[in-house]
Amino acid sequence: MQANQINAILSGTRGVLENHLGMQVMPGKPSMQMNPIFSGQVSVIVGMTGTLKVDLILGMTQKSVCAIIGKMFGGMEVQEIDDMGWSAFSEFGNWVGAACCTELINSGYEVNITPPIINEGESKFRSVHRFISIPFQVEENEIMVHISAQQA
Amino acid sequence: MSKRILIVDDASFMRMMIKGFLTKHGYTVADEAANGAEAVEKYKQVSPDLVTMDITMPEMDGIEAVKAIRQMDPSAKIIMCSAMGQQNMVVQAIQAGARDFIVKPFQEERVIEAIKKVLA
Repeated sequence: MQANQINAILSGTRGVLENHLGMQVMPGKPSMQMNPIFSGQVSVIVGMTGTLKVDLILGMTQKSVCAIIGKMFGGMEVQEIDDMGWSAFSEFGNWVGAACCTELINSGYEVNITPPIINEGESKFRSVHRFISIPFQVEENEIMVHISAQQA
Repeated sequence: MSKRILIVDDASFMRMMIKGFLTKHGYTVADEAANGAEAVEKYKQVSPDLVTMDITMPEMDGIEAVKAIRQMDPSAKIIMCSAMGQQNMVVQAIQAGARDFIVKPFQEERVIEAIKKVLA
């Protein structure tokens, strides 16, 4: 994993939260994660394929999901996630993946996104690849950004 | 009579969002489709004035659907709406016959401006 790859993915993720959803983001200290990766209450998994293979996991609480989809619904207060809410959260994953792809393409990689997968419920991910994890303080909530990238 | 628009996107959230923009500005939603194959069928059934088309969808993607619709109706007016706004994607969409390309997440004004321009 190279710094420019990680920076491109962080920039894409942060851009969607800040520029499109108008949320304040404060990135924390990165750490190298060994197995397992904890999912948080809800996580969205976005894949990127091409000259670089990326796995991006955004793990968060249900409250963070409600805050994100509330912004997507135009500033509504969301207490529970219904089918439309899950669809919005999946679309959020799609926006983040596409924004990361754009950043990576601008850095010279040829990549495309795979459809986002949502994991509901606390669980653990295991992979042969190492992940770099960066906490994002997003207003009063925390989102864990887990990134793994390998040259294809 | 208000112009009739077919909304094509696999995400129900995006269909709801676009539907909200359209009805607010006096357009009629002719129908909705959740993938390219359904879009081609719905196009035959409802003959809309314009189509908003996502690209990445199951069964048949938006580019293939644009080609199929334009084969049936060479004057079909289609606007692509995709999160993937890279140059090659835009070129592919325009070559397939799309009239404009809007990158998600989009603002209401951008969608309405594109629709007005294509319908003019």
